[in-house]
Amino acid sequence: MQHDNFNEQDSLRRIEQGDEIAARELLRHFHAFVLKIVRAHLPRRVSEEDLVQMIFIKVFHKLNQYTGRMPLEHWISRIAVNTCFNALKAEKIRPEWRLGDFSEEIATGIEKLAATEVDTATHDDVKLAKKLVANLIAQLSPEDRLIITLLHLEEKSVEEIHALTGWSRSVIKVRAFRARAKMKKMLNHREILAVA
Amino acid sequence: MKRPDQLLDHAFTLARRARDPVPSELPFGMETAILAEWRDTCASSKIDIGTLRVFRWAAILACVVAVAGGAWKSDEIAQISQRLDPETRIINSALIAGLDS
Repeated sequence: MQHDNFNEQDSLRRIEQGDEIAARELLRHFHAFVLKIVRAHLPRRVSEEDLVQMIFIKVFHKLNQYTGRMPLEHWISRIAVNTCFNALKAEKIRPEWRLGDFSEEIATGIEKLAATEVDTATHDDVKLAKKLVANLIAQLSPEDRLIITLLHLEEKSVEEIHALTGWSRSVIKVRAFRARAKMKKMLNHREILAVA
Repeated sequence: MKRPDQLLDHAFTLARRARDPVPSELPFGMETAILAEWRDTCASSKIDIGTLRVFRWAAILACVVAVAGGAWKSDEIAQISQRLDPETRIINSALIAGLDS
């Protein structure tokens, strides 16, 4: 995060008094942090700028409800994750998975990816892996998508996901397992296609 | 060749490496839009507090009027009952007794 001289307590006190400079400081301090969360969970039909703006409007709107029991960063990330999740849920039409849905680029790239090692992976491999993961995740339900992103891309623990979403630990584990199974099935179908 | 499970883990590991650069500045207009919305919220919450105060005083006033009205009415009823002649009083009490039974 930028602006190392940012003082959380002082900033919140000043914002409560209606200090616009303090509000501006908070916005600039947390912008990159919120943007990273949005990029990780971005629904396809929503622009990241719109979502970031929506999150900050919610943050300022609810700031008087912030009790200070958790760090402000956690509180903001919770709002950000929930806003992204609601945006994902609003994307009602989710195209069903079809065997031919992998683009040719990804389909041929998977073979290459399967042959590469993490240590020797090139920038193109990384880009391809990102595309493949994005394609697979896009087929999941909003709940599964959120859990897989938090667990495997942001490397959050089950405990952290529980704190962010409010879902029970067992629900998170079961959903993660099922979502992973779905993703493996999609990759299996690709193999069936390749054999055929 | 990796199994789907391994391939998935491999893809996740590589995808984690892909990080788009985060702009150091906020997009043009975003800061203004968010702060304008915040100012509106502040203003509307002030109006809300003002409205609540008005409603509270209106409720207190309404209670006072109701109590005063009740007090005034009880005096009036007492005066009316005192004004009644003995015959009417007997009829009244008979009517009330009839209603009670």
